[in-house]
Amino acid sequence: MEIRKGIGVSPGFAIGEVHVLTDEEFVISRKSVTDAEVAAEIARLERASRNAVAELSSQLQKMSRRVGQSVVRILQAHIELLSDIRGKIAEEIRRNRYSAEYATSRTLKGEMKKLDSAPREWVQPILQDLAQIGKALLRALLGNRHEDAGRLSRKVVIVAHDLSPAQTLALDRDKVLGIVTEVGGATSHTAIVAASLGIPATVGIEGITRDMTSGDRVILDGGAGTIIIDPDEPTLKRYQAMERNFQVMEQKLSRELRELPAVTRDGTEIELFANIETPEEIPAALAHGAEGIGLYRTEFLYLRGSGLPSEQTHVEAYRRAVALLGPRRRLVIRTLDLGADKMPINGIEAETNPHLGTRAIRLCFERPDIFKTQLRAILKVSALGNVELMIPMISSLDEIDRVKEILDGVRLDLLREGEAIGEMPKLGIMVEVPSAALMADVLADHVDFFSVGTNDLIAYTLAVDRTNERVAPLYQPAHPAILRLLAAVIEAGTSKGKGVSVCGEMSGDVNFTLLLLGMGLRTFSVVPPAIPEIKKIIRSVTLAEAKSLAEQAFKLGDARKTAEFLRQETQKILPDAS
Amino acid sequence: MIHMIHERFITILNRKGLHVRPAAAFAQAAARFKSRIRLLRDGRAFDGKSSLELLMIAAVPGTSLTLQAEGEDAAEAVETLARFAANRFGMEEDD
Repeated sequence: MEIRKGIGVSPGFAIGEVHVLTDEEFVISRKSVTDAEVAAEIARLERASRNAVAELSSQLQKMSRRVGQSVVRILQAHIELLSDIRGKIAEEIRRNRYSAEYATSRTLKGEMKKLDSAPREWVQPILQDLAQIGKALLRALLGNRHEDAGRLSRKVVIVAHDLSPAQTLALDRDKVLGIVTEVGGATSHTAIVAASLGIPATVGIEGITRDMTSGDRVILDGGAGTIIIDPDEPTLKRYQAMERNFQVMEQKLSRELRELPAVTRDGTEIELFANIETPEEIPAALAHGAEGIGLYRTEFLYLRGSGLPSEQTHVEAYRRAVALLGPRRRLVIRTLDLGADKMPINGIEAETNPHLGTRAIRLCFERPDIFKTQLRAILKVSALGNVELMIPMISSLDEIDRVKEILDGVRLDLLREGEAIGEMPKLGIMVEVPSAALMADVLADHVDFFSVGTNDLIAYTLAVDRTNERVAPLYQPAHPAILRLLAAVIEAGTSKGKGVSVCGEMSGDVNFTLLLLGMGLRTFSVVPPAIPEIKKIIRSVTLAEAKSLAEQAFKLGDARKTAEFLRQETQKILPDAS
Repeated sequence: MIHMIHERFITILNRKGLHVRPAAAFAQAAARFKSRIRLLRDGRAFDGKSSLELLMIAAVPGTSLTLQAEGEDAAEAVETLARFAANRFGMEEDD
């Protein structure tokens, strides 16, 4: 028995056998593209092959102790081979319209099959070389990720180096008990998706894909962020009891609270919305008691297939969301919030610091075609429901003006085309760049609502990358500077009658609910499973109590003391909260 | 203009046969000629400028192949590449 500690990102227990996804495991399924997409697939292949050459050279340098001619020769041979194979794969894409991944896998298998009749011993190293080249290409194509976790035959705990949101969503919910990964922080998209699907998950357990083998037994505690490898019988029994308890509590809380309104004891109504990544999560969000969707992240549309999503793809997703919500429930669609580094776009240079680079609205300004496609789709669907538009990464007023200008142009285009579009949807901005938070009183005059993205706001304000474990402890949501900024944004918006919500992770952390209420927040947007507990806290206090608690918290002036104080106060209401 | 086809028998002398490194070296050497370069084995032809195709010959040590060149510099190509093969494609003794 061995206990390992990581970061708990999605509470709940998972007890069972693990299924380890190694880096070498690629499940490539047959996929075709349209005639129009063939050129884009080939361009992807070219890019992947350039990256693969770079990877091969670094691998060879690491692998081989012998320096000099022989290393150079192997490298040259592999690069030569890679360019030959690339030609064949491109042919395969052209001829059969296969996706680059599938064409790669097919071509490699075909070539290796041709060597079937050669003497085994002689051909072995060649097959190995070919497989290595194929894997390098696939890795480059898949961005170091696996396409999916495959079709699982039984219930397992997935152990992987990393899982993309797409992979996490592709997991068969009935078969996945939990998720353990080596990398990733509490704010990673994988963590967000796992939490929203209610799959217990722990991330940041180094070397776990190496240390565990498929079939090993494990206990995963997604609340505490621990895993227990090969548990003994008493431990197993204890956790099985805890798991049953957790499920009973969770169901009871959810059932009891679902129909009750989120009102403070003195009768103030609080809005509770859910954050989602795909429309498929809406039924679960409503079941947890969400009044609507306060943050629909649309990045998944961009990461899903190959190439950029078409207007039709956008429209279909938004229509589905509106259909699931009905015409009255609020749906806040956030426009593209990715950096160029994560997008299938040609001709954009890599940046040394993507977080401070051309991401989100900055990318949209650079590529108005991408932005307009999404805006067109949002405007088209907005008449069908209660749709609102939210722009991420706004850092100054002129950016809001530019957005409005583009939006007006798109609306005019649609009207000229004879589209029956309704009124302009409400326009809001994410407040996540410190400059926007500091200017909130000015910006409030120009938008309909604010939504505070605490994850980025904390990262930018405290200058901390939370996925870097050496500085991760400096990521402190209770830092007095963060509390000041939050208070200023809430005050700036509400005093001008503009809606203010917090949609970052802080909003879904029960330990901050009292504080945010006390600071004047009336709208929360959180991961669906967090809704019942937050509702419970809201229903158990008066605004006056929350306000006095916030005042006390402000006086502490120290992140650690404040966090501890808030935890203790929360525990008085929710004894089980951690 | 029709070019003569030049041919020569070659034998793979490398201890490990025509494996990844010699194949790449040969393809690179062949690429320097304008002529079409082919290697024939049992009536099947393989593109001499593609290291991938050369591997598909599965030429173990001692394999005899026909080296064929067609084009304006065919004679020179056959001469040079045959010598290159006899020199174990410039590889070390144990390759």
